Amino acid sequence: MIKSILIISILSFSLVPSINSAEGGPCKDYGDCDQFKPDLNNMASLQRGVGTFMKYCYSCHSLKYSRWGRVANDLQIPEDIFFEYLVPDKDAGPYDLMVAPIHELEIDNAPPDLTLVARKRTSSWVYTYLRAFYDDSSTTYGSNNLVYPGVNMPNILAPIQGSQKLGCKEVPVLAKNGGEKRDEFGNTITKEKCGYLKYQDGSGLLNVEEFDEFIYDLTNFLTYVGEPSRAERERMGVYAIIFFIIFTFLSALLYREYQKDYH
Amino acid sequence: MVTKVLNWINYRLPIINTFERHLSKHPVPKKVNFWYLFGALASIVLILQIVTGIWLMMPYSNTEEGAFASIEYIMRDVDYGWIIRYMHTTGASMFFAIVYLHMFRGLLYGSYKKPKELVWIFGCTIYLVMMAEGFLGYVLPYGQMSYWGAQVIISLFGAIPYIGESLEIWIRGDYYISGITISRFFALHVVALPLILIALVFLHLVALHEVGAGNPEGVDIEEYIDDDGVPLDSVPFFPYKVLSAMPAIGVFGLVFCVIMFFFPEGGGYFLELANFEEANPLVTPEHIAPVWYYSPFYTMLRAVPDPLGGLVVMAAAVAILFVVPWLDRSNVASIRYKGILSKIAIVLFIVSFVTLGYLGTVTVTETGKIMSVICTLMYFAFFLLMPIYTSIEKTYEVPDRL
Amino acid sequence: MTETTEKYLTLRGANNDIYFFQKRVSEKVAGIIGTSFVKTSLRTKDLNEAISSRDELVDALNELENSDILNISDHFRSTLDSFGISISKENGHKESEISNEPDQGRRKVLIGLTAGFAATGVAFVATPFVTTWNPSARAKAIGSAVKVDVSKMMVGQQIQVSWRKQPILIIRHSPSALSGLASVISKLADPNSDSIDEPYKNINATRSLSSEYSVLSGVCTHLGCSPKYYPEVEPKPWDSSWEGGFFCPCHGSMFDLVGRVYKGVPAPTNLTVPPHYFEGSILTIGEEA
Repeated sequence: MIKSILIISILSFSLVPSINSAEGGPCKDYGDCDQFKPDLNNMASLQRGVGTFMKYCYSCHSLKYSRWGRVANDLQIPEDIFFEYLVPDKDAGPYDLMVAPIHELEIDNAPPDLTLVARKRTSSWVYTYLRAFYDDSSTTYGSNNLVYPGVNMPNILAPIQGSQKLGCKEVPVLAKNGGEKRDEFGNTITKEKCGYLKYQDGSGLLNVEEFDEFIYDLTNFLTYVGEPSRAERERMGVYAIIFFIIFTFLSALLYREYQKDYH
Repeated sequence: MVTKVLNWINYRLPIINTFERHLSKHPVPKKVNFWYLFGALASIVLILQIVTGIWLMMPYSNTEEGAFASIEYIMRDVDYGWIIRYMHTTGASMFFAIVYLHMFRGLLYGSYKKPKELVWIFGCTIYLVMMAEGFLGYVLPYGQMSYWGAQVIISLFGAIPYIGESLEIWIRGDYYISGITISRFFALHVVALPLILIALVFLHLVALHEVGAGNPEGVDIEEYIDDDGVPLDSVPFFPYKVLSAMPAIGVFGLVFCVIMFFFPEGGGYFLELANFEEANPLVTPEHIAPVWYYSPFYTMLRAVPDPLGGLVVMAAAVAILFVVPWLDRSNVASIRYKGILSKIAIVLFIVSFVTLGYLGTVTVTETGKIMSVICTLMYFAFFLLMPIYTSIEKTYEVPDRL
Repeated sequence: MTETTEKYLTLRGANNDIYFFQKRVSEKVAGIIGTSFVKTSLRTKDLNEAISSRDELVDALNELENSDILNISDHFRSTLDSFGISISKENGHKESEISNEPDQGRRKVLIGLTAGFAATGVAFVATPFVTTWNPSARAKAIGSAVKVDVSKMMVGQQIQVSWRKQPILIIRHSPSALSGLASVISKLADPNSDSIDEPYKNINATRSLSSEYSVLSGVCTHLGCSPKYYPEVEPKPWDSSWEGGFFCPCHGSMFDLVGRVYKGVPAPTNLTVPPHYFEGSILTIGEEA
């Protein structure tokens, strides 16, 4: 009886999907976000990521909760090299916060702080967003974004990525049961659907794979900076779990030993 | 020497007697199942919450400008501050999970039956205070979810006729949820409610020790006692009960660590993503969902189209728990010996409660609305029909001994 | 069955019952029967059955108590046998079957292991609670190194800067003041700073990295007051042959011009020299070069 109640309860809990998928996709017109799997122990990636951030993002975006020295230390960049090549403010010390010059002025509508962007929106969102810019002459900056329609930010990475335009393509028509619809000859029925990103070959510094990796590194860095203790947290977690497995085992033995007294 | 000192004290203040009576020699039923371990786990989490809470108070800033930043300060600048904070946030969710299981155990095995009514009532009061405590705590980081969650909850008071609007302002002490609101919530969260909580837990335990712990058979072990007045089917708390709790603590610690070290956000259920953005009274997040442990009641609130009606239903859903001892007319305590009607009822109850919980975390849809009304009705039916189905069904005979 | 034997038995099997039982029978019988019988008496859940089997055992035990073991009748011997208590005819010695008794050795090992393991865990859990009290990154930011341009100081002047919210005293000595340091050595408790961890020992008479400036922590080594600078060579109320130096107003400790403590004053050691370095006339206090 109890078992069946338990099973029912567990089943009903397992039916609960993650909050994000309940939202109809946080990546808006793009559809589902491209999945991003951070690798916070990949120092080379994180180091490239902080380089990209400092070069392209830091002029407008701060990381106001993060401190220079911590980043240099966590990313295993020697402090002298870090401060010489990456920190534009020559007076900054290791304990100073990474506040961009633009945020030291009190201006309205300043670009947002990015310290927590990967936590608030998820890393997958950031990864998808940064790759979803396309040319749109109707906007102020001449570009728009599928993930964040109407975003008030220029496509700063356009020279690197090259040009992307919105295009259409033939997609299979889905039947009610989720399968692809076929005509009487067995060919898949397609219809033209628009709102897809089309990449103009050779228009940027990097090809598609290289650019994806470029954004991967940047997103990886933003994931790191959202929670700098995460790599350590996961390392410690393994030990904590091993501890509790052994503790459970030992105390179960002890419990069974003493249970003999009254069974 | 130590014995001498202890005896000196014990003569004046009976600590040894009390210790033996309520802890070391306290008799507990010798045969119980895992459902009976959640009480011990809950007290461990309570201690953990108090200790981590005290430590979090030190670097936390209860000002409008400083609150959100001080959370990031704890997460980054304070040495291992993140561990303390994740312990506290994970602990909050785990506390509710354990208390829900503990309460469900009570429903399963009739832990409210005479003479345990007071134990049950103190327990329900603890749950009520916990809900308030959890809510106040969730506001303190002053993120978007803190702000808008509090906005929704405080607006509930606005639904009260006549005094509503002024009550809202009185609670906030301002025209929006500001630093003034945060500092009073802070005082309540860290001093007032924990004091009440500890006092209630104390009463819960004293009342329990007076009538003795229950067991899954619903047998009264006090019926058969030895010459010293100790129930025959009992074992002393120390070492037996302590030892039986230890593997449970191990498993619980394991679950706790998996969440705390690998999924501290709990997929957005424990720490909501929108709360990683500082509160902005001018921008509502796209999707406001309560933390999972309020979710069932939030769904009930939404199931009723009128705010005042919703508030009444939500309050009634918690209040009805208090009268369960008088709703259950069965002559047996445990579900094992109750009839088929009770068994069906409890399955439907758990299904409706879980569904309500799920519905509260997703956006409202047409089917969702109908489902939430049905589940709310099922939830109340479980309690309101209890006097009927427990008195008409045929129960099984309870054995004399464990 | 007598009143007293009624108390001998309970129907439970927990350890404390065995204790309860053994406490009440004679040492002789307790030694013979061991503890295993209690388990046997529990083989039934039926109360009446348990009571009758208990009474049987009590009779046998009474017999055992009152007669010689060798002469015990076969009837009682077999009763005791059925409870796991065997009495050998040969030596009349207790041969009670003890396999059911708890294995105390195993228990001790398990208790030791589990307790030791749990203690390690508690130590690890306690660690973050200790480390969170360390200076945070923000405190370290506020307490990071300070820079001072000392070129504008006049000879003989003392200035005070704040590092980690502590007064740091910088003194620009005249050559004559430095050469006069030798004359006070006889009054000093520790002229070579042997008893403290002196960072720049035997480099300059100033105790700093500069041959002209002294850099001293302005915190008296007695109880933390800030000593005042009295460079004049003239009789002072606290010393009629004052040669210039620092005097602490709180408890009257005296130090010479480079912060070395006098004999016979409350302060135990010389004023400390904070980590520092000079880049031209820019003095950085709080870190090494």
